[in-house]
Amino acid sequence: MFIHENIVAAASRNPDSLAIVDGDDKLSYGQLLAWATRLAKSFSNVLPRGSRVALNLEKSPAAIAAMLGTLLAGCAYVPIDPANPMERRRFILRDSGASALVVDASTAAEWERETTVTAGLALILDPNVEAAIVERSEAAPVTCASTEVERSTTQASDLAYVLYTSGSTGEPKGVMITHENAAAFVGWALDRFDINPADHIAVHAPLHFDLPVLDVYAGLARGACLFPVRADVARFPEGLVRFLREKEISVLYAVPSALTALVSRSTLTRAGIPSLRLLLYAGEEFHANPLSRLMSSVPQARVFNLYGPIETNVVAAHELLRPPLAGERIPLGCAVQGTKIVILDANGSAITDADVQGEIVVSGPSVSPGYLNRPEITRQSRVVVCQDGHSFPAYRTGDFGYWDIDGQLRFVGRRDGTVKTRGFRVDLGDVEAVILACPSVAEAAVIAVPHPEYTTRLLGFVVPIPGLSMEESTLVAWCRERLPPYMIPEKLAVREVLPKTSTGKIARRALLAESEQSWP
Amino acid sequence: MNSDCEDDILDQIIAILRRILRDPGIVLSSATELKHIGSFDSLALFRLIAEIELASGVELDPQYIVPETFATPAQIAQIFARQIKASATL
Repeated sequence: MFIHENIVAAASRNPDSLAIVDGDDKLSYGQLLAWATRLAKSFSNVLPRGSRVALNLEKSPAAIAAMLGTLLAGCAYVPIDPANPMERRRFILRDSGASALVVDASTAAEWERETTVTAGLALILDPNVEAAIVERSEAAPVTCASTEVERSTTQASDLAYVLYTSGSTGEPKGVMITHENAAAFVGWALDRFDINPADHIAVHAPLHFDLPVLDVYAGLARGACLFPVRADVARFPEGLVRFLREKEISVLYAVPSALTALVSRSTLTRAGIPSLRLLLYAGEEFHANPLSRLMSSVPQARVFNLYGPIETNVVAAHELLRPPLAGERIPLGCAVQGTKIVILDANGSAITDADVQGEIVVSGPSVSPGYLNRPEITRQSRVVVCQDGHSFPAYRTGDFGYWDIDGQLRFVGRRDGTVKTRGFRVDLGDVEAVILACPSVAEAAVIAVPHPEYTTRLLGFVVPIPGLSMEESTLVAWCRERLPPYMIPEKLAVREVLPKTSTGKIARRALLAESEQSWP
Repeated sequence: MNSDCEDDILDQIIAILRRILRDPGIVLSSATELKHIGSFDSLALFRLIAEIELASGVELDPQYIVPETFATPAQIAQIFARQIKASATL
């Protein structure tokens, strides 16, 4: 079944069960489906099947209803982070080719000024105003028979959603996820994790991220109740722990940076989270010390390390059966069902021996067909693998790794300038390109400095055009108009020159050494 | 009425916030609601805590790392002043 069909089935089984709780706002499965169906009908009235619908919404029941409504209408959604500056949001709206834009109270006013960008859109909709009030005030539960949408015949190759991630050129790139991709991933998650109707699932990561795909679609497929974690709660470690305890959260999927903050800056280690039974993490390496303290604080919870770039969904998983020892590195695990993971050497040949490093490439039904409007980058990200007399196409993750002697996949590092900071993927070239576009900048370099809590800190070095002066605050303001907050370097140091290697390239190691001394 | 200690901490907090937020356009006062400042994200929060702890020599009890504490600079100063007073009586 496709991801939205699972939810329709769950709603028909238990229409009165709680689907989403957001503060005092409680939504049953019947109400969620009715809301989504009303939105789907609005889309169907004006949009051809296969259209893309941009969702510039805060994490909320309305956002989840809009995601589901888009899929029910046979369209694909494009979540746009409300925390992004308008320039980046405008770009995503245009680049995605969205025919409709869904806004909410927090984003509507910003788009009202964007008449040029939104002029060609068929529909600009506030799901709260257009659909929620009417549907949700109905006294009688909505039956599923009345919520069917005629256009719901979905093909495996249809786009389900597009997630934008950091590119290398100063512009984000849209990762296309088909219904086959999403169904393969969610189907695996449903088989692997015993999510059930009694579960309370925190939707912790932002909706433009790939982690909530599991929360929302696996959770709702099994009749569990979702608890969206608002950004102003998620930011404060004790605020989050308090939320997890009060809501009796049983399933939490988060990035290590956020979980490390809970260990070091909340009362988690004093009182744990008694209700938590399943803890999933992904997105970056989790260091042994905080992970061990975390696991000791929630000893009743099963803990899994999940691996997979946004382009592939989760392709490897490893269950931790005990807290790691000091300095121990956690394996990425084994390939999930239906996925093939191969390590390639520099010549593109598959490595079968243990402990030999190479690039991790992935093939399988959860792998994205490519980037929206980026055939060249899509082509570069693909490789044909020849193994055991068979050849098949695979996605190049850009991650280096190896198989250990136990057959577990291990992570080593990246082959390009992509880093993780606070769980977000950032291409350093993307940040540099934005800084270099500033008219007074002649040269720029951004480096990632390892940090125990945020994975890495981003630091920038800038050389102004001769004769022009430059203030850090000017550069920061320039970046703020173009980059999401997590991509803005923590420091932007203005220099007369940047150190160079013998081949004339920027000496990033020298900058790294300098930054470790100057900004420990 | 604020104690001298609290006023000193408040001044320090505002100075640290100005440095961390790096936006001369933001007008900061004791009553500024930080949730309305987009650049006051998790990274800014942790830097703020670390810098106040360094300046005051007192580690903030994790139970206070909640939205209410960081609602305004005055709220933060009040909590830190209380922590400093408590540590001095130990």
